[in-house]
Amino acid sequence: MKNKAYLVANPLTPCQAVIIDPKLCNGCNACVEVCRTDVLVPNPEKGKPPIVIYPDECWFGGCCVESCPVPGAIRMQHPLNQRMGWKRKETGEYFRIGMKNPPPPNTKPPVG
Amino acid sequence: MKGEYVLPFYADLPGMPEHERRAIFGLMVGNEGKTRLGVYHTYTQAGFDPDKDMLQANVLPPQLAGQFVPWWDPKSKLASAPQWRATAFIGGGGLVVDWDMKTNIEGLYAAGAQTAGGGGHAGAASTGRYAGRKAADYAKTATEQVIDRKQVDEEKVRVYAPVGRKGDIGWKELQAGICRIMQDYCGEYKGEKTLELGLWWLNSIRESEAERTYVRNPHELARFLECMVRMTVGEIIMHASLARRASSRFLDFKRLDYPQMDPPEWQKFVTIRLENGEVKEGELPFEYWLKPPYASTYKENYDQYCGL
Repeated sequence: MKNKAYLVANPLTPCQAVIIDPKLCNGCNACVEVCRTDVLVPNPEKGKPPIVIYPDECWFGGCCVESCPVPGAIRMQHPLNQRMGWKRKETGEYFRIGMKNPPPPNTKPPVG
Repeated sequence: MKGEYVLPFYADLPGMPEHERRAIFGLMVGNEGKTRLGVYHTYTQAGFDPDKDMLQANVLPPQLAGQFVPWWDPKSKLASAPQWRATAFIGGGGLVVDWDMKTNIEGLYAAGAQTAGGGGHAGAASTGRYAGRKAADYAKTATEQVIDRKQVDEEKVRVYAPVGRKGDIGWKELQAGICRIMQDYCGEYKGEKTLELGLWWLNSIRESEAERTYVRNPHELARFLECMVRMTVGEIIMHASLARRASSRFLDFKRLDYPQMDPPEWQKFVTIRLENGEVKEGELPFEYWLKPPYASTYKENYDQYCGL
């Protein structure tokens, strides 16, 4: 057997909530400071990415992403059972969050 | 419930005057604390454009619609809808079998709740013994099949696909996602539009999230494979629900687009089968096992087919 099997508890629901890219994260812990429900804890090793330890308590407010100084280092991901779809009015095409081959992003910023 | 509207509902943002759309999506959603990132950023990044797109509202029982509750959360009291399909599920559907309890696949026998209309302990015990005996008889006479190496290899690839995969979804999230699709699109309030959308979602999950599910050990692999089977079963249920274009009180089956309860022409089983990748609809009379080509009583058929 070339694949290792790990003895682990079941994954938490609803999902991982926030995903950190260890290649981009500089370990500044801004997300840890700002998180309202302490979903993240600092990595015991200084400079390493924080650990997403309580993802089931995430409120999906996104302040962790907004406070991150490195674009793309942390992203929020809605769980599969909370992803919604939409219909393009003129063409009738249907899209959804998380689909394969999504349409290109809409880059219009919020008002104000 | 009387067919005055077609589900699902969409927020018709493109149909609004531009200043209203900008106020609602650009200003309110785009700036409010919890929606700026979670909705505005997430959805526009995924391609949602309020100038063109209508955002879908999930399909909810009316007692929950508009309530500020976590509608997806089975632990939430308000959102904890009963399992609407339970009654129809037990007595409603299953595999079509003949008087040998054989399915349309040579060598495959079914019993108990697996059979159409079957259920309960008495049915399980009697059909189980009977089907087991018939399957044993078949096995005694069947020729030994040569193992198809190609089929085995393909199956191994399918089963072990997620092993070692760096996915971002655990099996429980996948499972919860499938459950919501069934509840939303094939629950109490359903019609052709919701069922077809439900099939679209299951297929979309199959090619997206199911391809990104991680497993860390054999336990999680087994749970993942169950999710894959549930998606297939979900598709079968949705196709069967599409094929029954009538509501039924005793099946606890309601179609918004066909609200009339139990019209006489629908007092029958609807059947579906996969033929060359296409779903074919068919029908059988209730108690087809007591109608030609079979005899009209259980005793006559039993005497003829039981083989004892």
